[in-house]
Amino acid sequence: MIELSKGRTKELLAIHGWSGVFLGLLLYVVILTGSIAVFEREISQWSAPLSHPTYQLPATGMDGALRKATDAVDPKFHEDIFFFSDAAGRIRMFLHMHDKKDGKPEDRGVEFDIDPKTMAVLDRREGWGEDIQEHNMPKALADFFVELHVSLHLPDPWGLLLTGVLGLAMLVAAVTGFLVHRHLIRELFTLRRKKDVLLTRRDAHVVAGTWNLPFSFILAFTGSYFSFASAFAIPAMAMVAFGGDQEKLFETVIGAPAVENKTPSTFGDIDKMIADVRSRSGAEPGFVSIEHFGRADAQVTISTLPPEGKMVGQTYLYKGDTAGFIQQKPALGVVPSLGNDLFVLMAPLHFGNFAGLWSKVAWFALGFAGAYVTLTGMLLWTTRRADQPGWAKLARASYWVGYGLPLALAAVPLARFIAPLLDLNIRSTQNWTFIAVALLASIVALLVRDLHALRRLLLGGTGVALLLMPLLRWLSGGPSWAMAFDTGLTTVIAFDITLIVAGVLCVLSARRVVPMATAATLKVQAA
Amino acid sequence: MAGAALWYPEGPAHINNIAVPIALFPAIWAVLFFYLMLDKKLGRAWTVALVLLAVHTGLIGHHFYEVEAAKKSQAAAVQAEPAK
Repeated sequence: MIELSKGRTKELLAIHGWSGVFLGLLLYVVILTGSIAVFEREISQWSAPLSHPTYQLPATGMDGALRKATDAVDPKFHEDIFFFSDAAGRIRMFLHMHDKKDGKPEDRGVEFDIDPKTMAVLDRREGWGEDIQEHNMPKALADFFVELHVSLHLPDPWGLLLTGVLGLAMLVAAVTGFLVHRHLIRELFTLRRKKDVLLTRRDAHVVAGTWNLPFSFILAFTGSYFSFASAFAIPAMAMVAFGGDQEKLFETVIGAPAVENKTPSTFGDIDKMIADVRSRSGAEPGFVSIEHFGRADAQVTISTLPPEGKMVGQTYLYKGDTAGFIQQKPALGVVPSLGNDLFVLMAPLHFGNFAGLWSKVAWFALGFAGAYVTLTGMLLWTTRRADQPGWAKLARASYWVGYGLPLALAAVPLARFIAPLLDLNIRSTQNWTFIAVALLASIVALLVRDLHALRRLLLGGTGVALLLMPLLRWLSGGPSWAMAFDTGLTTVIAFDITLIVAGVLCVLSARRVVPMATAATLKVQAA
Repeated sequence: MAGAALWYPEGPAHINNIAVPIALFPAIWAVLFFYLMLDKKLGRAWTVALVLLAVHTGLIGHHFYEVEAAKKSQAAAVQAEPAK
């Protein structure tokens, strides 16, 4: 039990409620899309699978692919090269130079998608870093959810700043939510199912919120860190410590730059370096970065995925010209430090990708519970005040966003599969479909007076859209279940089944008649 | 947060003064937010916030002044070199 005076509890409860009400609807969008984005890799494997799934760098063949790619591009793009097995299972290799676009640092070069089994080039994209990603079609669907989560599809830095503020609001709601619990342990288990339905709903919000408190805190903290770091903190730090030179900041923080030597030189065997990392670390190499390919000062940095039982990977340095091992180093700096420890913990804590699929499932479930807590909190808060016109409108808006957003999100994969059939651009079709369905849901929300009927309509629509996804995926040229089973595309089958189950649950839930909360009943309960 | 780059210890890797304030930015903000919201004395809360702001603004300003002065003296040294 947390001892707080009545006045202090009242203040904290007010901060808790208002932090949620002011930004609750946007926060709900960010949390729900974040839960989906946990499966970024699986979404790409499901929507654009290769016929032979492998999601790691091959033991041989990378060296040949690298040399073929370097021969095919302007040597100025040899300045910096990286490659990794990307979310869609293809090896993405980007050969680029550090340039400036509109006065801001931006990479420019050529990117290849490479088949990890045949090493054939599947796609070639050229231009500025951001523009290149616009043409990365295998990742289009996953990118839609990730971008909505990261920046609400708003331009930089405004989207990142907004999601950063939302993260801080969630942090405030989590801390105050913890402090105002007068009976923390009891509230973890109190769900009065046999009493009033509305009381059950309030209890469900408190139980889900209480269990979810530590996780909400972690997500809010790491989420606002990621948003603010790139939008504000890194440029601010670069301004103070390095006169605005962000590249200099990265060089200093990452550490161990090679002494400059522009003499042309041969390049060592990258397959040998990757094999050496495998044997040293016992982990799978995840990200390979090459600085100054073809020069005497070429340096290779290879980061591994987290080894079995650990949360973070390791980083190894090699001399590019001889493929000789230099040292194992932290991600930041050349010796262990608090700054590095904090930095490397942020990603696994936020993305939940430290223990394969199981940690992702846990992160999805906890994230989904967070979205449920945000929505039910909004509905309880606004319904309690629904006898006042302003609050009644916010209650209706909560139903629109709460149940209309899943519908608009579920329409996006349908657009992704239909677009190529109609020869439309996948990314813009996805965006416009989302906007159109969200607008349609808003019109429905204005026309249907009964909020319960509105909920049933939007939830039922979401269920139908979810059920249509596997069918449309198959009809638009995706592998059938038999073919997926034969080629080991288990992600495709598992995802299809999950969508069908989720669709059936949505339809059943839409058919269920649930008594509506009213301002009067909730006020009586609160009293 | 930006001011912390100038007073937080660099540590053995010489990166803590940059990496730690960036990583802890949400915590720094939250501590300040809760203090300012919950302090019973509004005047004291304002004073603490303004003093922190002034100290860090002053630190950053002083740092920029020193950087500019160093640049000027370096430029003067370069100009004086051919004269020798």
